[in-house]
Amino acid sequence: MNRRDALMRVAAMMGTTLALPALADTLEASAVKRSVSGKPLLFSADQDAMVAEMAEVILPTTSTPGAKAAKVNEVIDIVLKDCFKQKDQQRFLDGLTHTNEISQAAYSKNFVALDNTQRTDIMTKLQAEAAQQRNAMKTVPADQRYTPFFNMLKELTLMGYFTSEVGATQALNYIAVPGRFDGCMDLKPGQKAWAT
Amino acid sequence: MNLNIDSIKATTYDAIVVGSGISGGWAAKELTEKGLKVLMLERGENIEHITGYKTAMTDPWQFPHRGRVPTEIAEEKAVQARTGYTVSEASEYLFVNDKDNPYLEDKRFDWMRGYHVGGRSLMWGRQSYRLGDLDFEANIKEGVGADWPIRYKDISPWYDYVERFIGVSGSRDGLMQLPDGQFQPPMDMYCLEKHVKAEVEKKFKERVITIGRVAHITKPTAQQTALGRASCQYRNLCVRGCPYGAYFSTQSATLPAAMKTGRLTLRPHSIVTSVIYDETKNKATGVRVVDELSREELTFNAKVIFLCASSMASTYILMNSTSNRFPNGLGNDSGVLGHYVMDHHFRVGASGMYEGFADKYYYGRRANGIYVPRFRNLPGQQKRDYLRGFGYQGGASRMNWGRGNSMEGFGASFKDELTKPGPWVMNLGGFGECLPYFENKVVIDKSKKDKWGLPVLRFDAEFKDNEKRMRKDMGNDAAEMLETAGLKNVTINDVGSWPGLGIHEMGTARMGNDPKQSVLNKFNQVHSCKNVFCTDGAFMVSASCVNPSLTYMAMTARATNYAVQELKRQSL
Repeated sequence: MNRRDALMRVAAMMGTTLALPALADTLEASAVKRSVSGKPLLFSADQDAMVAEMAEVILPTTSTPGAKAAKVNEVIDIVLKDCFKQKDQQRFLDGLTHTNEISQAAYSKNFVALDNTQRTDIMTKLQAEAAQQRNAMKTVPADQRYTPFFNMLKELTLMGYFTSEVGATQALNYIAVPGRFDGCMDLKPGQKAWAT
Repeated sequence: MNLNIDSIKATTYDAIVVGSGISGGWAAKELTEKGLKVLMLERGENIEHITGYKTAMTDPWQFPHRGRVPTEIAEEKAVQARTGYTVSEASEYLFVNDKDNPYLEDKRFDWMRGYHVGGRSLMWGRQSYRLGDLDFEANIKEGVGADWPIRYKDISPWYDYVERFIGVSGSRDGLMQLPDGQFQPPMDMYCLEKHVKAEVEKKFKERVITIGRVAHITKPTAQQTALGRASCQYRNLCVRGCPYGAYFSTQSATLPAAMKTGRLTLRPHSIVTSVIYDETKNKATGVRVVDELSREELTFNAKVIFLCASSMASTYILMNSTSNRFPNGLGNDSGVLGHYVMDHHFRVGASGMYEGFADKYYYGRRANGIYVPRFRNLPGQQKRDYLRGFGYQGGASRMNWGRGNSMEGFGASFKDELTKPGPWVMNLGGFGECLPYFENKVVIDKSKKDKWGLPVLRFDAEFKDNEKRMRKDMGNDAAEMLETAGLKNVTINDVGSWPGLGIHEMGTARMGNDPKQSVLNKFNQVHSCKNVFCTDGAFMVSASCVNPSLTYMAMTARATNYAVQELKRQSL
């Protein structure tokens, strides 16, 4: 049982009225809070579900589980809340609103109600918009540049997935303690990349 | 580890060691093994070997922020984060809170600090190289700074001694500019590194590519095994502390050795503010301490004092130790105390991609890179438009899933691609020597106070034209070598370098034969206060271009040997 599990058990035992951030340290407070309450921290429940679906479009279930199975939305929620500045958080939330707007314009439905083909279409549109934004930013001063919503989502999805237990141990090959080093050996057919 | 509470009550020891990092650990080990009763003072908290490394066994998914730090911590450690790699979710707890520990910068100075038992020996880069006579003779030959009071023959046996104890893995290359040492078996190179080595050494007579010489055990000695140390497990998580004791740190090696003697008392939370000088005895009698937690002011006494608090901190303590005899700081008759701040300049080099070896991969995570020893301005070569030289650290790898961030696309085939090893890439990053400049200095500024009400250091240091000219070669030569080996898209990167960022800050209480030009003599002993020694990087007279920690260890061992002889002769 790691420290986080221990904290969560204590928190659960004592009821969620306990001031959790005071219990857990700065690094673990949010994860404990989300885990115990079952509720997202920065996102609404709808936004949380929507991020899970969008992440799944970026890294879908194939022969290995996808982003949704890896609960990438939970990591994105926690990381955005704790590690991002308010204006960057807002750009992400605005991006979700915008995604639903273009989903409505094209299909008269919110993103989560779209079928796979429609979702891919909307994500392709977001990708093209982001490319335009990055292009336009090449001529502005460095302190005015920002990461467009689509790239924020993509970077957080890749980070959340490939560092997750599912991503690291199933999509990639994770060995905690290699024990030896061989710098030059044959790559076996189908061999997956090392996770770390 | 046993904190000997009873003996903390006693305040008189044979020796006091200030600081518990690389130098302090060595001083404590050597002095206790030679029979002295030693008090080691550490300003920060205790970190127990193995159990104190709280992220050492954490899997990537167990970090709630997957390596990022919350903005609250990022703000508290804004200076410590300037490296771009030190303040991560796994390692931030080993770096100081900048709000509690401020300093002033006339010019940007990046002061990376770890205030805890073990100091930066827990987070160091572990690269371990010897200085040679090319370094020791450079100042006198070129008329720069002051002459080193020692030559390679003086320190060579001490390098042997510390290498055998700490364990250095490396390859013997027979180079005059980078003397060989007592090495354990070298780590392997990647296919691409072997290829680049062969091509570069074929084309350039004086350029050698070797494996990094690194303080990791690859074949433990009986002495190392007895201390509980084991071989490197190739996890490459060293910055979190090594539960195998595979790399050298205070906790893995010198501290257990010192504790075994039964003569060491370790007192954490002890901020040494000054050395107490007795004008009637003409020597130091002890140190003043502020307890980090209670803020109580304490005094500890000893026959001999070793300052090993890190270059800038030991300099601070000396400057803050004023008396009628030493109004400008203990031992500062020369006026050079605080001057000649040096560090290595770096963050310039080249990188490229290689199209071959698609069917080659590797196993394990090598906590080491390759090394290109200095090849410029060697004896007999045509001189460049700058003095001294540089070495490269670098390495090859296959790109990981992170390359997906700069690839267009998403979906099943995108995911599939990222689960495969990416293309081979390789980089070479230069580490250049910085000359000693009198005007590069640090002083105590009483206008600002830290959390304990103590005045802070104020830095005024910069890299100058010699370093800037050297950087052109550091970029171009790296690109030339990678291109020679057939790498593509080779780009030169110079992202700027500021003193401190190399975490090799040094030189502010230099040694020398002339007391008018130096603070310490050739045995790291304060010229004008014989029972005070300083053996961290403050003693350095020139910077060389190699990583300095091994030299601090060797000089510490040498100084303790001298100090104990002098004590026995009652000359201290």
